[in-house]
Amino acid sequence: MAAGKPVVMVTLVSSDGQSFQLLEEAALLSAMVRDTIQIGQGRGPAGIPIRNITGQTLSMVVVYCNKHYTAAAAADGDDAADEEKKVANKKQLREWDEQFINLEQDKLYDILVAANNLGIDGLVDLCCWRFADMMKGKSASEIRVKLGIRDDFTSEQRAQIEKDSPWVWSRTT
Amino acid sequence: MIPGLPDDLAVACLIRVPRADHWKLRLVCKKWFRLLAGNYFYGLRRRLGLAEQWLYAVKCDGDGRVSWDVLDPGHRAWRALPPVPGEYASAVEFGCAVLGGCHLYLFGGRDPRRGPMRRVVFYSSRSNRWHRAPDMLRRRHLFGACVMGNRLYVAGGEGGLRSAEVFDPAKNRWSFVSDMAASLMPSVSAVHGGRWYVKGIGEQQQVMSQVYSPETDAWSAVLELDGMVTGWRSPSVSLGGQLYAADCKDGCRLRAYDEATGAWSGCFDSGHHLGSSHAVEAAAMVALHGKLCVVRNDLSVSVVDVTAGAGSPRWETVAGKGQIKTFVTNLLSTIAGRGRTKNRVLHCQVLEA
Repeated sequence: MAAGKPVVMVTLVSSDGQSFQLLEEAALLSAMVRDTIQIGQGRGPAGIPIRNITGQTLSMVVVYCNKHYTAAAAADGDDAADEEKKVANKKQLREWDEQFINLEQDKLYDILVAANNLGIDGLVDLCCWRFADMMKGKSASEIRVKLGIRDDFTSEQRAQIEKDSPWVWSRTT
Repeated sequence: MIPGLPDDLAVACLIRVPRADHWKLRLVCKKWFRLLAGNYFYGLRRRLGLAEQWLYAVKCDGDGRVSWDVLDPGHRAWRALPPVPGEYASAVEFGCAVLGGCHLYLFGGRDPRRGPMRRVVFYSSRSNRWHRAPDMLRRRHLFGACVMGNRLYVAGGEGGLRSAEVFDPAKNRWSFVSDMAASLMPSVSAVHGGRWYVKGIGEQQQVMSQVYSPETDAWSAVLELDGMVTGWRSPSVSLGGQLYAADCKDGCRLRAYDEATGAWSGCFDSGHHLGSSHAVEAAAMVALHGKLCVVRNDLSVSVVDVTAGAGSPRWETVAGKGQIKTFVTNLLSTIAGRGRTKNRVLHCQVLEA
């Protein structure tokens, strides 16, 4: 973080009334916050109300924003020529992301929806990757159970699909 | 689509699932099945840079049966695919090309019993199904084919054919283009600098080369002294505007055409040579995720990053030999009647999804 820059904080208020203070620059990762501030709102003591997102979820989002803002600021300050360090920092951030998003399904959904509403592209992307990762190596019935999806194929339809792609059935599911 | 998530987010999640698991997603429920059967899903994957490229090899087994295998570079093992359409099950001398990145076409060729064909079929890596396309205007076998501007061009063929045709998938129609300057049975073909070069055997059994320019719709003979054509060997591939060819039988050494000097020169050497037997003969070269891929008759695959610079390009074996057990042990009588020889890869293509 460059010295001498005025420190501006914003307050985000969750749907259940919890307040979170963070650096405005970190909060600007959210397109929704960016828009709010651009039209001249949200800097007051009342903060920015975030509807539909509970304090529990918002606290996670704030952690993500702080981490990514700090990492980006540190990268800006780095010697541009030091490729090795850049790569190492990127790797470190990726590992942090992985740890951060290693969540149960319900929490992942909450954060994904919140990140989408707040317009934080990086976090949406991270959540989607985590979801895709959860699907990996699972059979169709395991996926159904995990996500609570009803099997709406009739046995004839299933037979037809199996007939259409017989090669996949020789493999273990 | 996914209980608890809005549909747009559900789609954003599902498009990130690796291609190898897609067939399982289709079986989850009707909504998912429809999503994965449509172009929307794969169009999004392509737009967001998530599409995965797989390698497809069309090959000929011991009894002249045509079959094909797929290689997911991530899993490094070939898998057999469902049979090719009946008319190609024992066909020879047919063409093979990819349009739109995800449609693999088989066209023309000769059925050993019924003779030359006009037939055109294509496989979609999105739907995992074969479809019919309009027949070519002429029956052709042993002809040249290429793709330029997502259109399929075919030209010449055995029997003194001079005609050439183009298939535009947007119009779903074949139409003639200018006849070749002379009849030709093409054996090598490549697109370079927006033009199509074919080299083959002319009517008097002489080696000749022609070049077609789609802009002017005109064929012209290539001068015999043209450095590109004289040093040109099969297989070859155009990658990043540069033309590469195998410099030895097993494709462990590559040569590139240098526009400035007008000559071919050796450029990449893996330093590990496999020999010159039929099994390790380089059958095809393709571009896979921006890297050059050499596929041999025994289905071994080497990948080299030609963009890494001539200093130290990295060679990598993606699939070893002996993946298909019967491959080396079987014999087959070749189409050209050169006697009995071993199995071979006829065509190799890359399809994304």
